[in-house]
Amino acid sequence: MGDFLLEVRSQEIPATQLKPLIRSVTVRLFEELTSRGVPFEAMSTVATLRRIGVSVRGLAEGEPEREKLSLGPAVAEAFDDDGQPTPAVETFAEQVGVEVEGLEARPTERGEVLARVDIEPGRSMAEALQSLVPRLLKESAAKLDKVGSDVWPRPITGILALLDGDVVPFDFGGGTSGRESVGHPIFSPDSFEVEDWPHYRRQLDERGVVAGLEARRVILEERVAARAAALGGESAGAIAQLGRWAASCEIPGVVDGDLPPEAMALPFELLRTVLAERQEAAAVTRGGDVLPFFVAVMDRPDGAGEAAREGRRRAIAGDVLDAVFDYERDRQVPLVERARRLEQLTFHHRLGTYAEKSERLRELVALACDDLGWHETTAHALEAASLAKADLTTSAVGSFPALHGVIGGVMARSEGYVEPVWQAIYDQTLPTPGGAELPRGRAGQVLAVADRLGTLVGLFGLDGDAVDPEGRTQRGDPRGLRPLAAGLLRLIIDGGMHLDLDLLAARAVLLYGEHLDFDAESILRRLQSFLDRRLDHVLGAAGFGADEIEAAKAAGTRDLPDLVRRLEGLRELRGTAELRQLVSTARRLARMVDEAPEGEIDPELLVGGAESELFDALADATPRVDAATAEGRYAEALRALARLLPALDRFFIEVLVMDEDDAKRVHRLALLQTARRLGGRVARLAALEPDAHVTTDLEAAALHASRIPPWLASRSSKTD
Amino acid sequence: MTTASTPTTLQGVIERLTGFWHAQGCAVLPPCSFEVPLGLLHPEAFFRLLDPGPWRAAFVQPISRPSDARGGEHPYRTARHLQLQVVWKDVEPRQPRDLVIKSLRHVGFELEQHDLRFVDQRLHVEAGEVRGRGWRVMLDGLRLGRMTFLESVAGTALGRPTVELSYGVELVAMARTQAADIFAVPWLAAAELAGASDGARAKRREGEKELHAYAVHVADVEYLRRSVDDLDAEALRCLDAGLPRIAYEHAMRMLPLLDVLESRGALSFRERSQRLGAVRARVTESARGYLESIRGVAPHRRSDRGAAGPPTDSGAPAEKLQSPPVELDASGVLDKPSGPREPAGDAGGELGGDPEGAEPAASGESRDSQGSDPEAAVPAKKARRKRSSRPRGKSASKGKS
Repeated sequence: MGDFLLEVRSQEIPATQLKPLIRSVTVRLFEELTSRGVPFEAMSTVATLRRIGVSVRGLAEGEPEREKLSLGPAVAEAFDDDGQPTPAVETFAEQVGVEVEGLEARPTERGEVLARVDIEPGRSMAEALQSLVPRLLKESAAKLDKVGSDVWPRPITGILALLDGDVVPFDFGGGTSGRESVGHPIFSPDSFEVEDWPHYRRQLDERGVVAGLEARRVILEERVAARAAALGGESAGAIAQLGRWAASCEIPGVVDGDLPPEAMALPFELLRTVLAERQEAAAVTRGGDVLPFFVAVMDRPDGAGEAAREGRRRAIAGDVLDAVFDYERDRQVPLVERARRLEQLTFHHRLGTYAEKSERLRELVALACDDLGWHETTAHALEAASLAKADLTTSAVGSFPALHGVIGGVMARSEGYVEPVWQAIYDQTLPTPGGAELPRGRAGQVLAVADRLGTLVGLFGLDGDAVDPEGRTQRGDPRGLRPLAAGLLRLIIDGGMHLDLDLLAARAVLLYGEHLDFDAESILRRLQSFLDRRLDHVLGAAGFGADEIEAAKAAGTRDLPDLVRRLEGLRELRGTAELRQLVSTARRLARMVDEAPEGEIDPELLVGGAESELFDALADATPRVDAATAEGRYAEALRALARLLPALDRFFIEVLVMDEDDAKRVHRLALLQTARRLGGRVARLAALEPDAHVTTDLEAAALHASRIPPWLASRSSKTD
Repeated sequence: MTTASTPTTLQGVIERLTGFWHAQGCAVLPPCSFEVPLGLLHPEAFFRLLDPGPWRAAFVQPISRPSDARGGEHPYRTARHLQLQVVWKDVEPRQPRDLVIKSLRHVGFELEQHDLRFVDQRLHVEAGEVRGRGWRVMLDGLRLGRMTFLESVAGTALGRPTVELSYGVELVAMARTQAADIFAVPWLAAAELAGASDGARAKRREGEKELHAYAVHVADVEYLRRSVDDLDAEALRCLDAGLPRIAYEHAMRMLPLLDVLESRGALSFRERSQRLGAVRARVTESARGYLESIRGVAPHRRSDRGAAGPPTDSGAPAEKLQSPPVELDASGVLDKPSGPREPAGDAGGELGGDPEGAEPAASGESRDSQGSDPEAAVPAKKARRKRSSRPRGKSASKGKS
């Protein structure tokens, strides 16, 4: 059993690249070892901006023996009736240089075949790693930006590679593997020899280097919170930043200090962003109040370093003053004037200026309000749409693009616009990808919807590399269509907007006029199919099964909140005997009436018994289903449908549907068609797979995760 | 490397930094004679990065960014400051970072008392079509400088490991001397003050106030526009005449004027992008012309190229600065693409700066000459006077208020 230890040291890797890098290295190492049949007991990793480290413990001595096969004729054809080898076999044996008796049977895709089998001894672990590791490292970094290096994100400064205390020799990215590591470049720059993983970890610990990503995150979280508490408040917004902060230091230190008084004049959103983006710092708040302090992260031990503290205070003061300077200048030009300047700001080189976009927004929000029946919202939405993009002309948004909307909202508030208007401007970028927060008011909802839909329509209208004729995005999603679509769908679904998207999209196409390359029909068709797929994705992520989504969609609703209620109804009955029976009956109905022409029930022909019972049951169920459906209570509708089941069962047993008499046959089929149509008002039940394992989002995640080592999911940044 | 005494003045810091890079084999150059927003746009850096020869140089360059004027209200952001710029072709990629650390120790920083960070940063100098990626160098949260592996210059991929790095000289001095702000950085050590008046801090602030007042309230928009138009026309004429270095210079000289226009709020987005586009086009053309002009000239023999330059340039001012005026004239470009102080620009060693009169070493001389009148006969001379396009008298009177 062997222990392998690998550390690649480099110059500072950006925080955004660190996690992908360590993850990729670990997953590939796992996959390579597994696919070679090399067992091992455990893996752990460390990652800082200047090093990534992996330990594999309990590793086999070497690669297992491998069979090398030269395949010949099928066993079935290898011997004649007398059990003698056929000529084909003899020829093959001669070709591969063994007697026929020396061939062995091996299973293949085309059945058992005869083969010459050679046993190749596996390489020793050291040999295997020597060739494997450099290739694996290169592949792991292949997709990341590289600066000053061809194979690694940043120039390599050293490599440690030990197998049971012996160096695994290889060259990579200008570095040669050895048995040494180093601590922090300022505080412990001297190299030290490493014996094994525990020794390595101990050595780093002694130097104050907290090598585990997650461990640093936890430490920073505690220390930032403690420091803020000591200042009488809590750190505002630090949690969201901790991942990035942890990725940008080796010695997690924290420093606090005073903010300049000018900081209090800034909108809190701007102050918070300046501190986070420019300084890896957080403001301190108590209740709703901002306290005049900051807490910031360092890459050095706490304490001592008065220079570091004083320097940070001055640096932060400077950044805050810059923001104040910009914001004060921004405020001197009111939003209305800024909206006029949008005439000069390009939205998209083919889709015109932001002024044109704003004009389209106005049209779309008005139409949306109309369609939704939100007439009292129209005026607010129009005003918000006129001003929504104005903050793009501010320096504050120029410096921090993520504040688009927020700055405009804050300015609108201070310029005295009513709450629905400034909130709509403020909230226009919600929901953020992965965020749950929606716009607070109706004006904000329609504005956010119109903004995204307008952009999508424009991009689908352009010939180019955005979208192929099938509406698929090429090379992943270079123009960010998917997040746009996801945001749009979540606004409508989570916001419960009964909105006709097709209507809105058609208007958007008209509004673009000459800008677009394709005709309306083509754009709308491709957009619809794209949105449809994104809808599946969004609903799947919400835990609905693909079969449920298909079934609910088949009911033909274009109203997304209604679609979701149908799905919730189906989910409520998921796994029940009722639903299982509904499905099997629906399938039976489908088989029976699929080919049949539409007929009508003829009450004259009712012969009593099972037939009349079904007729009565239908008469009883129809209003119940209708009522429940009309109110969106789809579980109840399904239960009402289930009341038809006994009558249908009896009908199937006792009634001959395919009667020779045309009139009787049409009439009986019509009874079944009625039942089927009734069910179809809720969902296409036949499409459900009640017995199949319904994939939930959790399970989907688990399925996905199974491609990577299970321990990695929870311990990828494990520290010990 | 660190000597016993550590520098306590601006000049001491400059000496240490230039000395350090000189010891690394960098030619220490004079600054170019007119305003640039970024040391990288000094023609000795910009053009030399493009040509096929080897090159390693360092210089202190006065920087002008009128839109950074804060009237002395900001602890370290100023319209004028000094930048120490280093360019290094064919560098061993892992070397420069360690040299940056060493250079800071050489200046006297006990880094164990500080928090030194190298933070990912892209560099995009819009007007010069320069792109690269590297790190901003942050000391205790202060953006002290930057270090970038360049990918392209004038839109041309470099194809060889090239590093540019810079320090905000006054920022380094401020941090080193633990001055309260950039205006408090001493020019003279206490012991040397006998006979020399101090009082510098307030005076430097006053200078920044003037710059701020001028850029935000006073500058004559029509005059600036006319000047930019004239410069552009002249750049085009020079390109047609086969004088790419002079064309480059004229293109560069448009930049601070555009920056003032922007500070005045007179530059619309469209006009800004059009005018910057024009600068970019002239610069790219100049770069092409430069490369053509050095074809057949031994790439590493700089003086040859100088001599090959237009005769007008070898006139009066040449002896002052050792390198030929041709290149001196062409110079910096602006590094701030969109909003004021984009991270890229910012991160650089841009800040620092000192107001009027604060002209230590490098630019002092040319600064005086520019006080005189902007009309100059000889192109080279004109170039050196470039700063005179900032009429001092006007701003002084207004700044007073």
